[in-house]
Amino acid sequence: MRRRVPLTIAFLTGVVMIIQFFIPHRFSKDFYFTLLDWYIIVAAFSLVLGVQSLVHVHIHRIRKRREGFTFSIVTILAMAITAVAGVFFGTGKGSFFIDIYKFITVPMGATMFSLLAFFMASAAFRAFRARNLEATLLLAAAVIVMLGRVPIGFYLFPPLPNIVEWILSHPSLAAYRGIAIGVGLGMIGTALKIILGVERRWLGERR
Amino acid sequence: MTTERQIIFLLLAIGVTIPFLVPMRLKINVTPPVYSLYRVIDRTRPDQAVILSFDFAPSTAPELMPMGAAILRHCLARRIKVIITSLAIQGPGLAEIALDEVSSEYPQAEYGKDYAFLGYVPGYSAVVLKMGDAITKVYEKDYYGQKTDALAIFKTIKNFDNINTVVVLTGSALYQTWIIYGYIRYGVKVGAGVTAVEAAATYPYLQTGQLVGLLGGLKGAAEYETILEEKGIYQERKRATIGMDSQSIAHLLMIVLIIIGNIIYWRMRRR
Repeated sequence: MRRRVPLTIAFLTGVVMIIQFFIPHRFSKDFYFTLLDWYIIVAAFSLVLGVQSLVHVHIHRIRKRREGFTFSIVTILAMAITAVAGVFFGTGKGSFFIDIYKFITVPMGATMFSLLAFFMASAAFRAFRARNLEATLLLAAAVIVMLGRVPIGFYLFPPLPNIVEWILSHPSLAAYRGIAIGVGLGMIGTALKIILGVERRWLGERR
Repeated sequence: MTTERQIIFLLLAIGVTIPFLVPMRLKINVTPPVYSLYRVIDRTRPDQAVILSFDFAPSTAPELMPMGAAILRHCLARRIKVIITSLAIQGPGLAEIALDEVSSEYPQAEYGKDYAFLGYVPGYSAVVLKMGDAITKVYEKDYYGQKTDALAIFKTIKNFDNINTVVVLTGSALYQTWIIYGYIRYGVKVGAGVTAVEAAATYPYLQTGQLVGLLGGLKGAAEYETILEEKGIYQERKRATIGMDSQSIAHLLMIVLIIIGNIIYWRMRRR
């Protein structure tokens, strides 16, 4: 019963939505928009699940005193303070909640991402080697794109940005299109497997 | 190894800092995908609007915020109606920062009439699909809690039929959500502003016309700022253009490091 009910709901919803797509009648449209409302409401609950999962993981880590559990304490405290600020003091303009976001979350997020440049520079020095023909081609393309995507590349060799555009819109595009088609087919396959009940991992089953 | 790493970090820190103190003022060339997006936005009719969706989190803000600010400047300066939304939960906070900065430069642009800020509603694809039917049904209230039906902009802008283009700013593949559910289902034009890392993956959509234009990374934002400068929308150098000097040095340094690393590698291999 615990399996059959969700599997039946998934099957019926999937089949009905496919059929609905091909029926342009007003009733079909109204039904579709009602389901979209349901979808938005269900999506809102995923946020609750996200918070629950975050709290669960970090509380477990603190209880077991796992390595780096002090960071988990900071995470839980930060979340609690932000939640209290939002729930009790509002989320409007100039509120404490918005100030936390503007003056802590935004600069910290930007800092984390910016630090990547330092690790990339170090990795470029140590790992980017012309070991064979393929690696040399990749290296050459990377150097051209890196230089052509900044003004100094245009200053040193004016046709460079056009060469970069060609690399991105021809060889790179061809590779990405192949990947995209593969991903698309994979998504259709997975969707069909879920609708037909072949794929059941979303129910919590391991296989 | 640690010393080598420290030297690289120090060189990079110096390299990205100096251009802020001594600007190089390197000329920025405008690439076709950026100009294409500018042209599409610039041709928005008075009975149409542009949707600017801040679909990103603070981690990608250094690259994407200047794009949002530049497009907002373009719209408010030319009195192009603009509706700001977000499919990402952290997006509205960033949109508010950009909007506060830009709207103060254009006091003639009126909130509710020339632009509206709708905030965030969860549901990604469902949100885009419902906006195709009625924008105010998805966003019954704006970010500030006002009823959207009461805003003058929504007297003429009802759904995607009245939208000239949607510009998605994202560090992920969220632009695909707008293409699949906005462009393919309703035919609304979609342009994207993405991080430099994501830019290469967007070219297939650009080639097919599913994206009408593209801003890739900070360079894309700087190119858009350059167009606005050339068109006389403003005169002074803005954030992305200033940042490109630092990025130029950083890229140059990385290339030099790659060359030095390979010279060492080849010399060691010969031995």
